[in-house]
Amino acid sequence: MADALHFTYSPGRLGRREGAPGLVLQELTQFALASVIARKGQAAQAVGAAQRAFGASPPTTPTIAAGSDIAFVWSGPGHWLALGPQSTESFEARLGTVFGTHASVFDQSGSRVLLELRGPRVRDVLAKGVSIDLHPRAFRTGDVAVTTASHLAVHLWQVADEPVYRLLVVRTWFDSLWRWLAASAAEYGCEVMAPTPYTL
Amino acid sequence: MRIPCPHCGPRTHEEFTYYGDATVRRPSATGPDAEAAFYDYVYTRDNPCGLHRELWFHQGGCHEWLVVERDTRNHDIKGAVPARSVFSADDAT
Repeated sequence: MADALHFTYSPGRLGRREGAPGLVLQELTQFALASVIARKGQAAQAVGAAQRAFGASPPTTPTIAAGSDIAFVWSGPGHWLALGPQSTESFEARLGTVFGTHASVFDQSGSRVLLELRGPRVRDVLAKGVSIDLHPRAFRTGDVAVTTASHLAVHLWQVADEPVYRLLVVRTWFDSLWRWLAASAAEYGCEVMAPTPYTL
Repeated sequence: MRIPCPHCGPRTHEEFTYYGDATVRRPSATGPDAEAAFYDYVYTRDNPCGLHRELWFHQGGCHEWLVVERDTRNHDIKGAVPARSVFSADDAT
């Protein structure tokens, strides 16, 4: 297992070589990210403003809501992360115009690494560091968890029934997260794909 | 020990930070016994045997403060509610 600490993050196969990989991992890049926090007593107005402008209603339960090109990831009561495409236009300014005085918007672009995880053993890998129940009876497509993975704060959500998960982690913690992920996935075999641009 | 976060669902206590007795209330700063009342408010705590209402902060989750009812004898958690639902009445006065 000591070797697992020295896996570098680069496209290719690591761990068990035989058979199909238990975990397939891909970094999603080129997305804009902002935190949106409703001002005191203004959460309903903030939700309404986003619904009218983006066609996505920032969720009031731990779920993700996607509009045409913006997704809102629940982050706490009256608190969301907005994900959108990178553009020459300021993401923060675009959101700020919509939320006005109902919410505070802060650009977080570049602060996080976004990973997509799939494969037949993805749930077994996550179970080694995520303490919540990811069985479909408890966690389904569209559900979000703000929790910890290997003691690091992450946002985790499910994007398909296969299942496929997305994991958002603070960029400077990625190295630490990767050591845990590589060590956890090694026994099942892990295929790291080349990074791909983010889509909703 | 699992705490049923009213926002996130059941979570391990390791995601939370303990902040002590949730029943103490800040005394009036202008009362005749303000100094003694503040000493009591800041330093003296009961050590109850049985059910205790206490503050927990969900640091590894929704970043909300909770009031958790816990049995100090066996760590049985009876329930958790958002602290703002408990303290909002105090804020108004």
